[in-house]
Amino acid sequence: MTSPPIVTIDPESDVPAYRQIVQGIRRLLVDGVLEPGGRLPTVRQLAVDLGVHFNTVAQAYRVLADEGWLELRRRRGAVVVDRKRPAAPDKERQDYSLRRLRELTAEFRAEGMPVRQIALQLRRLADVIEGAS
Amino acid sequence: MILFASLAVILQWFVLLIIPDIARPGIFFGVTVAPGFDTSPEARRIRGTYRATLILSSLAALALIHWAPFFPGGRIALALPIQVAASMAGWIRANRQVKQFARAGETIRSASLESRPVRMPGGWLFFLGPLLVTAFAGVLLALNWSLLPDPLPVHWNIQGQPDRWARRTAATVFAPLLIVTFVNIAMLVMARHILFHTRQISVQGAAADREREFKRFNYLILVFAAYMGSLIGAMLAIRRIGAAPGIRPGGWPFFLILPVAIMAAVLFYAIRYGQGGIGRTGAPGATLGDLTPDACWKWGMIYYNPGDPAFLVEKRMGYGWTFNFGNKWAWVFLLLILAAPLLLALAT
Repeated sequence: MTSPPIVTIDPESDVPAYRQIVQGIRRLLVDGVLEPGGRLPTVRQLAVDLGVHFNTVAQAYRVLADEGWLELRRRRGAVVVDRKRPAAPDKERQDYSLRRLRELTAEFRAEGMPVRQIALQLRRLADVIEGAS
Repeated sequence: MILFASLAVILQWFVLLIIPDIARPGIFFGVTVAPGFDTSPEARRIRGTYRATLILSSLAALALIHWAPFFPGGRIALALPIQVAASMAGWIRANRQVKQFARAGETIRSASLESRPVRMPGGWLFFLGPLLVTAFAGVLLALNWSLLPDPLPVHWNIQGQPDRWARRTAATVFAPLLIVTFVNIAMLVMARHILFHTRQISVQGAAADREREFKRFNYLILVFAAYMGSLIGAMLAIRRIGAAPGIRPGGWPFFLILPVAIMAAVLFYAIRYGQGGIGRTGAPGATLGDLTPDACWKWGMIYYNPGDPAFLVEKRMGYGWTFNFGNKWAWVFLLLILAAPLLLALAT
């Protein structure tokens, strides 16, 4: 019988618990122990098993999702994704990214860059991105 | 009745006797200790004193049942609580003595990243069976409304004679079934919680497998207990149909078979495998203790840890699970359970 993948934390360590969880799971992901499509325990379950607050595990899962390792499913835990084909970010994350893009263009305008030039640069950038995908 | 009460005292003595010896490895009288401490001379002395308290309290309870110079019902009712109270005092004393030999439990916490099984033993139909049984009884009562006696017996004494009656109303007819349903829902919720959401203390090896079996067994026991409640509740309810107002519910020996069978199964399993499915002898992969801090246990009986998200944790005194009283949902759950008898009293 093979051993299950295990994550370990030391509550007395100076390293925050969420970061210990991130490091533990990331190592298993990098080593290929956790394979794409595999499901991790729910936030609640892992929190109970480790004796930490739910938010600690949720934060760890979010960090790994932001890194493109996990796809978070409400109440159903997290699924390991193939990093070559990262999952689309959720709407909140997309809205946040778009807001950052708008803020950046507003900053350029505030600095005096001509609107036409900004638009031209964005179009060129869009061409590059579409060409790469 | 005297024989029955005496047997109950003897059974209780036996249960209290084995409790310290079915604990997880590294737990002795509710305290985390070094492996092998339970066979040390100090441990033997502490256990011996506890056992002497048990013998004395049990003999006192038996003497009370057989020879106390006051009315029989009262002395029988007093005997078991006296035995339990004296035994608890013995346990608390032992718990304090063992604390001198306490050692830190495992500080490193591990969790398996394997997702848990999602199938319930017996499936959903088996799980929801107790609720279906009471629903069936409720439908039978509604269909045979005119055949129900009026007034209706609503309470029976310990000899099985009705000693309280009430007008035949929807509340008096259906309240007992509703209360049984309510209690059953609570038990079924706990059963599912134990199976799927309680902490996995041992994460690998034979100890992890045994722990999973332990949860599965406890799940089945709770579902069977819910069936028992439903069957007894439904039979009592149905037997009122077409009966005279002075009806005796009867069939008490039958009603005793189910709880005795469940109790025997729990005792057998507890003695054979112990708490957590591994007991004192342990198993490969077993952790020391139960991963809860000693400081959060009062007398090794009551667990209060607001920092632990667990709703239920393994008992340190006895077999099975207890509430984490630092979890607000434990209080909500307990208040709901306590509301059931209150509802019954108000409805009838």
